[in-house]
Amino acid sequence: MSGYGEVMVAFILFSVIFAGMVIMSRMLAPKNPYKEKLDLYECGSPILQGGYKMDIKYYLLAIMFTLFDIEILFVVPWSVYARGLGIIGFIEVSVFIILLFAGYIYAYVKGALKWQ
Amino acid sequence: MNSPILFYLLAFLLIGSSLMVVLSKDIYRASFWLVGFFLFFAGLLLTLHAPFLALTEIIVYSGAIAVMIIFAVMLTGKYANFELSGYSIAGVLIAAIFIIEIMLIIKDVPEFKNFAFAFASGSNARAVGISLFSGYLFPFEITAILLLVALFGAVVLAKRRKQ
Repeated sequence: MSGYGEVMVAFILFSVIFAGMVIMSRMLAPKNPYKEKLDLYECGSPILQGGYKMDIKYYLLAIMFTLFDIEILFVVPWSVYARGLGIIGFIEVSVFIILLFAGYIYAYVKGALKWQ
Repeated sequence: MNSPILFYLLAFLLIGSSLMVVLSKDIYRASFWLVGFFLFFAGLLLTLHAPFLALTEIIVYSGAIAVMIIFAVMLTGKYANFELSGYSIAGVLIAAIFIIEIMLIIKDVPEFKNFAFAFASGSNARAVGISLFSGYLFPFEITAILLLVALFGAVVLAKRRKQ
């Protein structure tokens, strides 16, 4: 059960490093604001009401990332105790992976992974 | 690892960040506070000797779910400039009902105690693997089909939008 202290240390280090990046960049970045720089630049048209377009394919990628993330989650407990779970466990995890791989092939054939 | 100080510190941060999720006026900030909530929750699980669940929390929740929530907020950003307050009473009611339900389930279902016992002895991932592949084979395969349906739905919706 011990040995996870290292994980904790890693988390704390990550947090410190990332927070340090944000804080240092905010502190060290040159700032020279003046009125013209902060002014809105909008040529002719009235100021847009904060709307912008974001492509749906980002969301599609996020969903697929989530699905295969969850696949990792189910395969890791099997792989830790693969020998003890025997051939039945292997068959079960194979069916699981094949089902999800079918989904991957479907997405690939449908062109959901194409970035156009 | 086992010090109560760390537990209470993380619990304090957890409650703080979850309050910030609820109380933030800006939905973008609320979703980023949610990421903080997931991270602190992972730390709390580590102090409770559940490292597999902690890493799951990191990989799935603060990795994938948070990205999905932030993308959803960004995709609906044009329509999401509504008031976030005004739902607080209904929210508190639903949360209270949910907490009572969970407490009743934990009290009544004996498998939760066995599960806690399995966690206390040996490797977490191993305990999850054994119970997943011995007692819960059918739900495990159903999960695969559920994920597959979600994938199909996402592809169909995204492709239909484009045409």
